[in-house]
Amino acid sequence: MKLIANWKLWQIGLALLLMAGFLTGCQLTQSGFERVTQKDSAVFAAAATTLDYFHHQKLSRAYTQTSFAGFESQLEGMEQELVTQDGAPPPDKLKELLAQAQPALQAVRQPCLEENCDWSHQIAALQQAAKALSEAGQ
Amino acid sequence: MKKWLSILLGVVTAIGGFLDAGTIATAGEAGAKFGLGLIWAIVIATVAIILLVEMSGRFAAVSQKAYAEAVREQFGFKFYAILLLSEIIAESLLLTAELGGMAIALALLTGISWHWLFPLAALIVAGLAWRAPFSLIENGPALLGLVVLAFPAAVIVLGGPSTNNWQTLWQPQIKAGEWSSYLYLAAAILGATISPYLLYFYSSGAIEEKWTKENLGVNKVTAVVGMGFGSISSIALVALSAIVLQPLTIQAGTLGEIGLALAKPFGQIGGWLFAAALFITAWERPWKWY
Repeated sequence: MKLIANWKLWQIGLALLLMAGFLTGCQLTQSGFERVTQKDSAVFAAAATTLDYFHHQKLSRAYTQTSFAGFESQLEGMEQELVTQDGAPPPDKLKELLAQAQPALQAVRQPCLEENCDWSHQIAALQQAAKALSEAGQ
Repeated sequence: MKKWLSILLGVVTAIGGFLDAGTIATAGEAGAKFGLGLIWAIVIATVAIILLVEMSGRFAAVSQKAYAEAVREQFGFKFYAILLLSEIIAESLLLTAELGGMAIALALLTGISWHWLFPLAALIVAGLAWRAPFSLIENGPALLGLVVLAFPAAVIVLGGPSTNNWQTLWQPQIKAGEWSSYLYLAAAILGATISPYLLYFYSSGAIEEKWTKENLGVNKVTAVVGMGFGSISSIALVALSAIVLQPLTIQAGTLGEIGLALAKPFGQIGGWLFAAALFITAWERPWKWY
């Protein structure tokens, strides 16, 4: 009997919690555009750190290569994905954003893992794309 | 002496056994996204698993019946078949995830695509399950599993969480629209930690080791201390992600990203330690299921 009473109390509590969330406008989910830009921004940030760690001998070549294969797979179809999301900005702004992300996308596809190529430039491009996407999503 | 050795082995087993590919992924992501704000979910899951494991061990020691056997006898085969089928479906999905975790760990060590390494991971698990005796299955990964202590060690080397990190423990920073992600991760942590296979495995181990009423003390200590210690590695991984990944705005969407947190304090060795921890913990579970 006591268990049933407690269960009813739980149910009432949960209903009140949901109602409070609804009334206060507690936003449970993000718009599609917000979600995708945040995810892609985080991937670029991870790629920048991975490349930086590799060139500072903090990661092995194998680890870096596998990580970049994962980043590439996560960013596959990024352009199309951003365009089709709800809450996306006007086409000209979106075009600008995608243009900013292009050098970073290129770096993810072909990361510079040698000393004779400009890896610091790639890291800067990745960080810039991460920042631009993060700001666009806010 | 034998009793203390048994307790020690139980604790050591639990330290490595607490984590697997799923818990590593969820704990890493939780720390990277919400700082220490989801540690409460690990604490709740730990208390729940302590209670469940202690009960299943006590039941096996007193009744001399393994958990699955008792359910079948008490409720009949039809009821048991439903549980068994649900368990087979859930564990088959988890098996795929664990094999994927092993393959990714091997890929991080070798640079070979994980797609090629997946069948190799399956062969390793099947081969060992076919040939290895129960004592090796139970104790073998225990010592290897200690590699997960690299997570708390890294937290110590990095000087522990910052003041900002500590604030997220009781005041998680959840931006508008991120509540669903927060609640999803909480549910994922609970689901990944409170694993039904553990009850079957633990009670079968009690029968295998011929536990009686005299072993109830060992059972209690193993459940409480073992699982308690086990959760430390999981909590440490959340803290490590919060310390290293969150300030870099990395969300730990892939397993390799979580390893960056160990690479910061330990360099290349950190990356290898992460891959080893992922491989051993992911390998341990499917091996035990068999």
